[in-house]
Amino acid sequence: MKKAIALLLCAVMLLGSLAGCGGKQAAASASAAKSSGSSAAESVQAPVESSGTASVDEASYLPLVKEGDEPVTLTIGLQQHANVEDYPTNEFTKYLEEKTGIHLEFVYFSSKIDEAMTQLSLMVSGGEKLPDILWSFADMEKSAMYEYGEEGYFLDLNDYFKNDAPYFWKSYNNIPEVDQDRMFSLGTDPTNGAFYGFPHYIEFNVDDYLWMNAINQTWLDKLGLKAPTNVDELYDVLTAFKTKDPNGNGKADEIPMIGRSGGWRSDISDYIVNAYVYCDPEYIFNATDGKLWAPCTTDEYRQAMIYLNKLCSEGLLSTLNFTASASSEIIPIVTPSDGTALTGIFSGHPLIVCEQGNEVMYQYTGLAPLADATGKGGYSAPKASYLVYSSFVTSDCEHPDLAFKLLDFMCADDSVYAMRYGKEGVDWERQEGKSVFGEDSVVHVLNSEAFSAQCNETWQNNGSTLDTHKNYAPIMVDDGSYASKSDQLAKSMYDANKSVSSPKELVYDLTYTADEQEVVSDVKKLLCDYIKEARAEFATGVLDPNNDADWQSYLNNLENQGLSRLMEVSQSAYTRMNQK
Amino acid sequence: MKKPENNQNEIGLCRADRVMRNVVMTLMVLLVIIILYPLIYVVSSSLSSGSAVTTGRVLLWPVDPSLNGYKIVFSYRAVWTGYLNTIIYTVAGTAINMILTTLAAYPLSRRNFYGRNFFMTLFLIPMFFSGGLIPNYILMTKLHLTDTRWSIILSGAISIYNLIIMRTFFQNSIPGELLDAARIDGITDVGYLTRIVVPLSKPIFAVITLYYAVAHWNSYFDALIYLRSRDLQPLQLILRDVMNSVKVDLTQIRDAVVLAKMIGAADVMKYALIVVSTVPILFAYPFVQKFFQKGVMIGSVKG
Amino acid sequence: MNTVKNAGKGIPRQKKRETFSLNSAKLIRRDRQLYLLLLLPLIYILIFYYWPMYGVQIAFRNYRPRAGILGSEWVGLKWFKKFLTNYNFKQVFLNTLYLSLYSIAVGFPLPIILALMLNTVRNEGFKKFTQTITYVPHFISVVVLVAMINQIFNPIGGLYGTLFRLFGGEGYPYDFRSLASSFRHLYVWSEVWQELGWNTIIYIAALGSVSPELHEAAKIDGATRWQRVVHIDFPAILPTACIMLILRCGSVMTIGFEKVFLMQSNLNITTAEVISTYVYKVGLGSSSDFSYGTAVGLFNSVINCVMLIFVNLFCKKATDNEVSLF
Repeated sequence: MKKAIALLLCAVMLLGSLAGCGGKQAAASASAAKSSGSSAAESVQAPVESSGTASVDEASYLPLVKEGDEPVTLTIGLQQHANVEDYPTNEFTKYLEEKTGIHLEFVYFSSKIDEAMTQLSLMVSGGEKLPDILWSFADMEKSAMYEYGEEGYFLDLNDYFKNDAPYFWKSYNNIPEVDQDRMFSLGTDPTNGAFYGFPHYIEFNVDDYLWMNAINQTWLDKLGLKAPTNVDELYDVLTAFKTKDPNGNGKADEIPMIGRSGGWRSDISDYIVNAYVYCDPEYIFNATDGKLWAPCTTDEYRQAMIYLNKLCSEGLLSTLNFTASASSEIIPIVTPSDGTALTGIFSGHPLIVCEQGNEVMYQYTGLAPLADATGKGGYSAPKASYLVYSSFVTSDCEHPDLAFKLLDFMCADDSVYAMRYGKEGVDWERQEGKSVFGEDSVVHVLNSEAFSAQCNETWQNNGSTLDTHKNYAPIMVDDGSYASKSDQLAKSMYDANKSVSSPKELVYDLTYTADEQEVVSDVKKLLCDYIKEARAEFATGVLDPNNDADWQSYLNNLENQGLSRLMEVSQSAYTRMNQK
Repeated sequence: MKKPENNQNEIGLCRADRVMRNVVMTLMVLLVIIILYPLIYVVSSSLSSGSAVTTGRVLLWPVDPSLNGYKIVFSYRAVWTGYLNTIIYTVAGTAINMILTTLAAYPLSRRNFYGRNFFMTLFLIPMFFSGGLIPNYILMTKLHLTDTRWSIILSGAISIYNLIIMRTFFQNSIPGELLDAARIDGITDVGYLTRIVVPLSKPIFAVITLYYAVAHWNSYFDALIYLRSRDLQPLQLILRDVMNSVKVDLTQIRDAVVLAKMIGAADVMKYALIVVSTVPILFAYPFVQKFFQKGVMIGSVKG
Repeated sequence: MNTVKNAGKGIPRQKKRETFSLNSAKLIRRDRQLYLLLLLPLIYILIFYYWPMYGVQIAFRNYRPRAGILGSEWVGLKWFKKFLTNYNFKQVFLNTLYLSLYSIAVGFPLPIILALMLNTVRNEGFKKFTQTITYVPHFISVVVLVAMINQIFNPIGGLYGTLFRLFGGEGYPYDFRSLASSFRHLYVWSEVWQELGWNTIIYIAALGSVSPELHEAAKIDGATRWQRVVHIDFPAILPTACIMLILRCGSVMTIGFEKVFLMQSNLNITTAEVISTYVYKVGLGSSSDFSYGTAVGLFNSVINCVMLIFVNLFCKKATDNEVSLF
């Protein structure tokens, strides 16, 4: 292990001198050891053993501001959540103040990220003093983070991670290795190797497989069918659903398959396409041996379009999947006339996409990804765990080391419990049990209001912490209630995904330089929109996928929207990030 | 007795008039239905359960009636301070708006005003070109008005759009002869404005006051930019925050019970919010309506 | 002075100039009270509207907060080029224009017609009731409006679906909610629904200043209701209507972001992508967005300005110089 680290360090220093650090940062030897793109975890070494037995001697480490020291006040800027009654008297605030001895004051920003960013920009433009810590700006664009960092408003946290982060490293040792590698590489500024944002990590989740699909088991049983495993079987099952009246009400009102594009994991056309070729709706490219290619231009994709077109034209896939536009609209699973089951297969997390409390939900069970007609395919992939960089220490802070230590303290297990669940003994208690992931959990929730209504127990938003299954999933309650049954349905959808193949190389979050970012912002969102639009047009018949001219015009439009430009830029970012 | 020329019957309407009246009434009734139905839908939705709304079971009357939406909205204490703030901004803001707008509209309405086109252009340019958020914010910072109520009241105090409408009214609805007659009596410009123009302009004042008041009532953007303290924030801003807070984010919540609760709340709240934020201002219009009565000009000019 | 030469030409030149300056001083003195009245609003707009205008140059710079507006790097027409040379520009621009013109074509005459109709209603109670009902939709927020459209036209559960089944339809009716061809109609007509009553208010106020004596006189002369509307009411609101048209055309490029964004779906991007949503999607997420946004805003403003001047000229010609903005 140590040898490997030494070798890597050499490689890193070599690359560092080659890259020349053309950026503005001219920090000391520390920056030579960090080059753009390589995993900076090697250069930021855990001050404690990586065996996971690290512990912090709380009695001597806390409080951070000892008695007899000068009192310290830190201002925290955060996005104000409407559910919090009063931040200064909040239970979590009290917990932090007691444990660390730091007095906290608050500066409020809007709860919507674009508005909050506008407010921040104006504060900076107006020359106002920034709060010491900006906490949990979870959706801040990386380009914004780099800009503020490079302009000097955010501090580079590399050194603090090396020296002042005991709780962070303790939790770090509990997360999967693949995520450990990404932890720093994803957030390092490629221009100057600085690391501005405190990570917020959540180990991946029940719904972090790409698809969540359910099929109506009662209907299958009634018709004597088995769950389909490839597209041909799917066609037969759907036809049976449509023609054989499985909900038994004498009317041909069944909708064999439906989803809702624009919702959380609920676009069923994604699921179908992935029977043919692996295609992630958000990240347009796949990678093979380090080279990027676009699945949406391949023949397999065309086959998928032809298949979708066939399903839609025969009424087997409801066009509502493409036309139901409002994101708050749910997928109908019961007929409006008599409340019997309406849908055969649907897509999405049951609690979000379906009507609450309706017992028809119990008829469904998870459906595995399909193979294509040749038996190949059937892709699903676990999405990478959630990783963003959302808290920052600003240059106006007079006690940056204390500010960082406060952020680090929030990574302690007890802090995570307090942040998510509230006051121990009142809102939650310690118990032994299993979480929805099937792993051990110690949290038994007593007060479920802590996150859903106005109260003063927590700050409502989760901040920059390392959340592993162990410290954030509560004990799964199995009381036969609708909520717990939906949870189980979600779990069966998750389990159905585990059994299938996923591509070896996945292209996830890429980090871009400023020039690359210009191309990306110009092209990406519109291109994604166009791909979805074209898919909907092929499916609903506006364009004919069998027609060569239509297919060619689709490819041409992809080019016009900038597919090659984006691929070029993404390739260089991908290569850079994977230099080993 | 001379017979009326156009076949007026006893009620006083000729045939052409009756046809017109029937056509108009039919169209009005149709219009009322088309507008009324969705309004009833909004109120019914706010009184129904969340799932009834999103599954489309609410057609006209409330389904699974409950006051849940309203309960949730009013459980946010900030909503009450929001109401108070909005009332303050609306009253103070509209007063200042009306004074400034009238002071500018009257001189610009005088056709012989020396420099009229110059000043008109001067007022028109800001309607198209503005420096944007940053210089405006810097200005407020320099004036030390950020995070105070004055930033909201003074920002956008003259709406050029309203100014033009008022000027048009002064120009076209107040006969020039009045001015000549008044001059003979020796009135100054200022006196003419206060003693003759203002009393005669009740309809336009009512309309412009309504425009400004409603704009204040609905506004949130200025507050977003200039205000930080929650107790200064107006209602609309707080309601937007409340709506945002019930958006489900699976990275934050893992507990199924909590998720279920939140999702139910979001749908109902949307409609309850409308009613909560709209009903007070709706009461303003009937008061304003009585200024639209005909015959404001009776007797002002003879011949 | 060539008195003979200039005889018949009016005041000789030099004298004209003298007269001019004499006249202007006189005129200023004559209007001195009007200037006094104008003083306060003038000060206001100089401080709050003109002082910040220096910020317009942000459209020609690459804004960085550290450097401030004046210190940011000058990039000339970079943002305009980025906007105008993008593959999507033509579509987005035409969509915006089309939507706006459609909106004006439908939304401008209808409130006038409604105001005239309301004015003829004798029953005071019904009149007040109708007026109140029609202006309430103005207060419904955009989010709820779009949600309502989607619920009402839902083929499975909403009014549309229910009526379809009521009249014996099999299965589910065609879902037209988010098709490319429906977007413009849904957008414009829902706007009409929402703003019709509110927009009549100004016309009703204008009609309020029509003297009833005129109507009495016309009735005695034997005029029908219709004739009275055409010859008395309509000319009374014509100046207001012209000004409203000019003002409306002066914001032709300003299609709001929120409503369009909420109504976008996978299928209608070809008609539903307008300038405001487009700018949102290509945002960089950094301070350069201020520059880019300002540049696009400037582009829009110039077009608005041109449109306003053009329509103003048209109105001037059409009403014999009687009604115009300037």
